[in-house]
Amino acid sequence: MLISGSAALAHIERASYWPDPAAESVGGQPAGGDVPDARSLFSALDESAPGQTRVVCVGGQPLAYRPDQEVHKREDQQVSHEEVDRLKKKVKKLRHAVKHASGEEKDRLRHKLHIAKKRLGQAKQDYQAALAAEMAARQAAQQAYEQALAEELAARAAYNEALAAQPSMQVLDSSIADALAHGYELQPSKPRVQVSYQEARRLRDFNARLLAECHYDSIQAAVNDSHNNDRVVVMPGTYTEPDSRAAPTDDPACDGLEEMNDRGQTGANSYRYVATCPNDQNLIAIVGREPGPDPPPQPPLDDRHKIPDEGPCIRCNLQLEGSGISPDDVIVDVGNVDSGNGAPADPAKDVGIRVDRADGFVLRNMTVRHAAEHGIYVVEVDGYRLEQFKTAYNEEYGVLTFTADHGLIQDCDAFGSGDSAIYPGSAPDTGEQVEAPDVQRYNTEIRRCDMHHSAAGYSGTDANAVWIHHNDFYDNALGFTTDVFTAAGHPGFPQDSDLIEDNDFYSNNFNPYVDQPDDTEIVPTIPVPVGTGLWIAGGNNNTLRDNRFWDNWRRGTMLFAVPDEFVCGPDTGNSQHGCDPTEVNTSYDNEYYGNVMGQAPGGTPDPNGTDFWWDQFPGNTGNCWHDNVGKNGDRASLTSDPPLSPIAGTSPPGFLPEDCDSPTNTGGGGDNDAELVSCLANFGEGAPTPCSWFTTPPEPQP
Amino acid sequence: MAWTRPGAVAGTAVALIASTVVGCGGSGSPPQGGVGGPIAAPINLADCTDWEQASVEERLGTIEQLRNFVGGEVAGSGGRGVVLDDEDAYQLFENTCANEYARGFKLYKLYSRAAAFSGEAGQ
Repeated sequence: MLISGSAALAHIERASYWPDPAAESVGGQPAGGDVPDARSLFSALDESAPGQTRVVCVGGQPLAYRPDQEVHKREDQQVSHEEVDRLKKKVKKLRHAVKHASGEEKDRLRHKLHIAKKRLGQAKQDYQAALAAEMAARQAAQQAYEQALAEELAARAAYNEALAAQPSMQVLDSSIADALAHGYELQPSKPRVQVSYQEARRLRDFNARLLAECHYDSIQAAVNDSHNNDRVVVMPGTYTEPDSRAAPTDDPACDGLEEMNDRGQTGANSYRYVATCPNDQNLIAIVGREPGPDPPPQPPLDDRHKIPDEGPCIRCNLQLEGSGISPDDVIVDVGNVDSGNGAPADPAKDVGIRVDRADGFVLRNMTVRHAAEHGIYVVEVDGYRLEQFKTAYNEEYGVLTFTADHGLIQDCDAFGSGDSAIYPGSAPDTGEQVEAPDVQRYNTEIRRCDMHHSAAGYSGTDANAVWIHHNDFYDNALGFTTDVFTAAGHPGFPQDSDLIEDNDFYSNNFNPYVDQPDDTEIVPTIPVPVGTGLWIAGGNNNTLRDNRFWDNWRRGTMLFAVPDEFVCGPDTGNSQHGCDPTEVNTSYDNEYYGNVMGQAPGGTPDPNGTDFWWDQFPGNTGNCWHDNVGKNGDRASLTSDPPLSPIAGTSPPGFLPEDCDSPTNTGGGGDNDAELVSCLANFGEGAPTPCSWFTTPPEPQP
Repeated sequence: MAWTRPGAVAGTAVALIASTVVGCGGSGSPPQGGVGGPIAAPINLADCTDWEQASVEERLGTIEQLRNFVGGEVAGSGGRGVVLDDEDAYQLFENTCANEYARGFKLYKLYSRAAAFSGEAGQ
């Protein structure tokens, strides 16, 4: 019998592989091989563009689009008096001529005068008739115009009333009104985004057009009907996906589709399982490919390059986007809607949106919340873009990408997770361990995101070659962790080659290990030290430059080795070949420079407890901290453990190394590892050093 | 320096483990079949709350499962994840899960972190 208190939502992950990083052609469009471009919302109804668009709205009923009709009023016609005037002049002239004529000439002129008078009379009659006709026409036109105008206004009012009563439009209208008055919030750390009247007007009108094409009230249903290069546009509203929620977990229909995972466990759900029972674990599943004709290798291959059981694309290059004014307008809720963007989550499924082998995937402009594990889960995908989104109170990770390549995560707000807000797990080995024909490159970029109010803002176990820049990490217990923990399940060991630059790490003093208000409570699933900006817990060749760390009450950064990452067991004939733990140890060659420590952006000293902390693990080489400044803007005001070298730019034993290549730049031991052992390996009775991590440190004073 | 783990494990709960484990082949031989049965539980979601509510038999089955879960092959390295001695694992969870703040800690995460430092702790 096994512990199974949370069994209802459980699953074990399959052994995962890095996808082939080369692009393939799908319907004439490249899929994978690069980060996909996002297609403009306003092109969604362009029938000449590749793919088909499916529109989802609350209620799922279309409302025919009715553009405003112009009502034309008849223009007044001028009735000419010219003929009358001309004849009058002629008569007058003839009278004068008659008066001064004599004889036959006078008779001839009299005759002409007579004819002219007759014509004048007729002209006057014609004029009066024309005038009367014009006046009548004007009167009739006015009546017709007034009637048409009334009809148009009535029709317009009826349409607008129907539009305004449509639930998705109601959400949009409310959001637009608020955005016009106050802007909207994308990242709490940044000013609100302002919206112009023209932008709002255009967006509302386009949503009205989208509504005319709405035939779905379920995102999953629209996804299921989608194919390569298609789009799913989701109109504003909260989507709980009742059919997905009702789908059985551990569905007997998928018995027998489990596989053996890394750990030798049977029971991990295979890709075929996910494709066959997509809502077993997931509220929304985007199954990108057919399962391959052959079953996955059992046990899994040691070399995790290229997915061995991959079938052809069926939903590659899919774009899923909200059509609201901000991510708050389209909400995918996996749990308790009444909790809003807070707690409790009360999840119905493990995952909010799962993107599985769907190369070229784009997600934009929505919020995903309240999953038991991951809000957005991207696995074995080559080419993905997640932008303009929020994840809230997903109990494990807000975003989990796993063995996914060519990724971009940007302009987001992720918070409320028991582990971490964003987690690019096992990002491919495209750093110092890259294998030809691939070349060294950053495979995942994360920028302009807030990661906050979680146990950890960012976590990247065995996440290699990730470029993290211009993000804000705050109000976590630990702002950032990259590590090699749980290495057995994560290809890519050891972690290496991240570039972490131009980020702000501040006020990571949130203590999730004490009582919290119910509506913002997270339940931490990991032990981490409250009050810490960043740590590298086993990782090599990472670069941290030009970041700012302040107001982290325990430490700005920590670096320590994970000494016993794995063991070389008996040769199984499969994966033990070449095992040599001394060649893959951690942590080496991590470089910190150009960072501002203990000083807020305005220059005000706002110190960290200790700026730099290093365990000095015996034998570790190449780690260095140079050209950083402390709270007063100079080297002298830096704080560190071990202490700063007496001479800048050197690496004498027992001090924080500054010369990266010095032969004396080697970890010499020390007692800093006692803290790690007491907090991470607390077995045996009577541990002499209680773990201090779960107590909020006192605020350091400037 | 790392603290020294007691050479002989004491306490009622650990005594229970010892007898159960020995009955299933001893600590050097992972418990089989009768302890935990086939692996079917959600080991990636089992947490300290589950541990606190579990019977000794359930706990032993979970430790066995964790040994497999964490101790799998580390792809590309040629090695396997390091595992804890079962008694150490039991004591780790006892020590950690007794704290209210740890109620949501995932057992596999505690296990893998402790395993990574087991050499240090055992010195």
